[in-house]
Amino acid sequence: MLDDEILLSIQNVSKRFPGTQALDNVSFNIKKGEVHALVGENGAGKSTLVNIIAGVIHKDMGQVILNGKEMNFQNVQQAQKAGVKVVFQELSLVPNLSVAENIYGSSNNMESFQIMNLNNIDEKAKYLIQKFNINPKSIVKELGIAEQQIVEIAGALVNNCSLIIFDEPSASLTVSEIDILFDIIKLLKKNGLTVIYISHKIEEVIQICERVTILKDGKYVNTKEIKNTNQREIINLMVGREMKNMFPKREKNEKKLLLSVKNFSGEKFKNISFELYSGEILGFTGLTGAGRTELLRAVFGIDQPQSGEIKIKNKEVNLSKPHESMKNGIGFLPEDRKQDGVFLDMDIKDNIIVANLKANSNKITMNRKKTEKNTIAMIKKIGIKIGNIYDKAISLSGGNQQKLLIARWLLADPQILIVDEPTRGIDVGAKQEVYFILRDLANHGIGIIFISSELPEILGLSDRVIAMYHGKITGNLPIEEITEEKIGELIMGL
Amino acid sequence: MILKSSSYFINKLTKQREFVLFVVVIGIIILLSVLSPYFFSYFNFLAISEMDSAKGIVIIGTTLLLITGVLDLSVGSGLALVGVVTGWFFTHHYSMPIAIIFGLLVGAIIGLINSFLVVKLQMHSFIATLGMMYMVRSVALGITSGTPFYDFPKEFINISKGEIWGFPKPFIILICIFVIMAFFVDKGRFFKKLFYIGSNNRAANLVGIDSKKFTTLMYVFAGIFVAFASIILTSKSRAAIPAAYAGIEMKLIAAAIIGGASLKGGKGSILGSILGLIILLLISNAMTILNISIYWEGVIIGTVLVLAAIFDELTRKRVKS
Repeated sequence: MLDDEILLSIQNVSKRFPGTQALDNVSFNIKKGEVHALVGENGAGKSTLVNIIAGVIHKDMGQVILNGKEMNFQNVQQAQKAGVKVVFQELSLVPNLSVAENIYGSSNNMESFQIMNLNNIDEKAKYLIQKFNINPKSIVKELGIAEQQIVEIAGALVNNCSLIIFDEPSASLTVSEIDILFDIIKLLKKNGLTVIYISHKIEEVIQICERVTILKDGKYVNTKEIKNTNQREIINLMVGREMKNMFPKREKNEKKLLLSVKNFSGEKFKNISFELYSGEILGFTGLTGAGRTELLRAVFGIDQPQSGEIKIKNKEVNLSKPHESMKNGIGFLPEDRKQDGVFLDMDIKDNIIVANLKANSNKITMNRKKTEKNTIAMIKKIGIKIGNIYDKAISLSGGNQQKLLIARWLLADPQILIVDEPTRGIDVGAKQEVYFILRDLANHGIGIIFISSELPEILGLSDRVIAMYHGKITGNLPIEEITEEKIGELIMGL
Repeated sequence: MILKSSSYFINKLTKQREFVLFVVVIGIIILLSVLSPYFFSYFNFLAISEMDSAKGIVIIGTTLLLITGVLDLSVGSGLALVGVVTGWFFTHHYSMPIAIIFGLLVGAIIGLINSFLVVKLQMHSFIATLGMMYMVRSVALGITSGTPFYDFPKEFINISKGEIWGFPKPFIILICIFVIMAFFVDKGRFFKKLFYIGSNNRAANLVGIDSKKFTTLMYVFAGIFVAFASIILTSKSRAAIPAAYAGIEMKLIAAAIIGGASLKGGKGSILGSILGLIILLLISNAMTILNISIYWEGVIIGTVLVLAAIFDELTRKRVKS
């Protein structure tokens, strides 16, 4: 590689945090004008590296060389002045101001007391927002996440930015928004900008990037041309071992009718009927807005359906509140782990016992011995990596938090478990563990409703799949009769 | 190691706020007895002071609400209105049970309205109870046209008069309520649910803990505690003053925060709050004994509160890393 082809050179960068070596002597180059993926499991050091490049934190050792000059950014503003912009997961926009005001405000050249002339937005920024049909007068918080990302990038363009780093940009995007994101990246590339793309989703990396650098446990593993590699190889490099059998083997379990939902209707779903049997994993898939989550929230009693009936083991039940569903043996793992699932400020033990406080107490007081015993039993069963059961849940990684939630429901001993996007935002190794745990529960006779928008895992894990489109069931098929194409058609309503 | 046998006790002792506060209380007491020979006799008076015992009852409700993640700013106004209502019943020659029952009822109703605004109308508790603070105060002033009730029958005054085992009655009442509540809030399954609600309301609802029901209950509880305290205060002071106890809610919230509660909810304990309150009371007491102008009290209370907040921030950061 010629020196003048290189935009950014990372050389022997190391960073230590108390207790961990976050980055250990990492070196690689980013070429001018390329879309370069950075992948690795949670804790591989991707975020640390990005934060160092962007000036959020400082490296212990090594060099960051941009356009042949060594850089030592002290803060984000300095990095932006040098042409480096990071689009973080949490966008740095002002939600209550307009698009134009946000773009204007991010300009480094803005004079403190200059009056904003909102008709006079920078040409490049204007081009970008017009290209994607965004009205400069719109208030930012009323835009979708993808559109907000566009505004943030437009702000970067004003500052003649040459390197844009996306940190997990697709994590909170819908399928159609991801298409918009890819269009933006293509547009940036066409205009000569360099992009670093950080993602968990290897399919996306293969779709949009030219080269990929893999990190593992803070160390550099390899850089590959996308055209010379494949998904499997990348995953193996990330995990550091051969990822055979991502999905557990299906087994023939005894099937008894557990749950039947009949003529269920609500605001986002119409006239839904389906059945769930013991020992099976029933996949629910569809695009965002298909009504899967809304349907199963209503089944669990979080939201109220307009009409319909539910039977458990052929007995009609009233599940208008979560605690009634729990009494009837249903558990629910929500999609949004942080907001709806984990009690981050409470300790691991409290997080695990919450769905079954009764089993962990005497008549009216909590019982510490029972609590500790049950908690430890569940942690061992699920294989959660923790320091101490009295540590706060916030100290756990995303994958371990998800396993914590599974352990919570397991302790409540449900017959039916509804899991909504259980592998969202967790790394490949943890995903595989979650699949095996769910299969193991099914083998023990639990009926599992598995909601996911990622087709590979729907196909890999489910015994039967229900596809939804616009609030209606468009297909209910056993796995033997399913192909990826067929599912694709069903969720598009074709 | 999943479970270090020592960790539970370490949690219970050094990490926990109560231990630190207890040391601080002892420290202040030692310091004061060295500085002033009057302290011990004076402290005796203070510790068993009936007025402060009533505050101790009110702070139990304040703490329960803070743990649940909501505020109540209507406490001072509630204390005044309950006193005025019982006073009104006495001046209109109703019997004592009627006057007391209506007093307690008023407390419960204030709690119910608070919870209606916060739970049903989804208002922020600060705004809702701030509104109630003005309304309730105004009702108390309106009923009386601003003039206190003084004429209370002897049987009512006797409620707070007299001693049990050498201690004033209100003090004994506080100790009883305090011991029961401190135990159950720390250990009880019912109160454990408040911590979950305060820590993450949405997640609590999804595991079958009905946050609306519990928040409503806690506001009503807190209202009844206020009414109960007001009856003791009115009996002791032999007057129902419509303008009294203004601003007491802020002092109680400050004491609870010093005691380990958090405005974000999910944290706090009855023991901690009481210790926080004792520290604040010792401080104002010390100023009197040491002949420091009471105008400077705010500087010291404010400093203690800010120090407590810094302490919280440091422990939170340590947990995160």
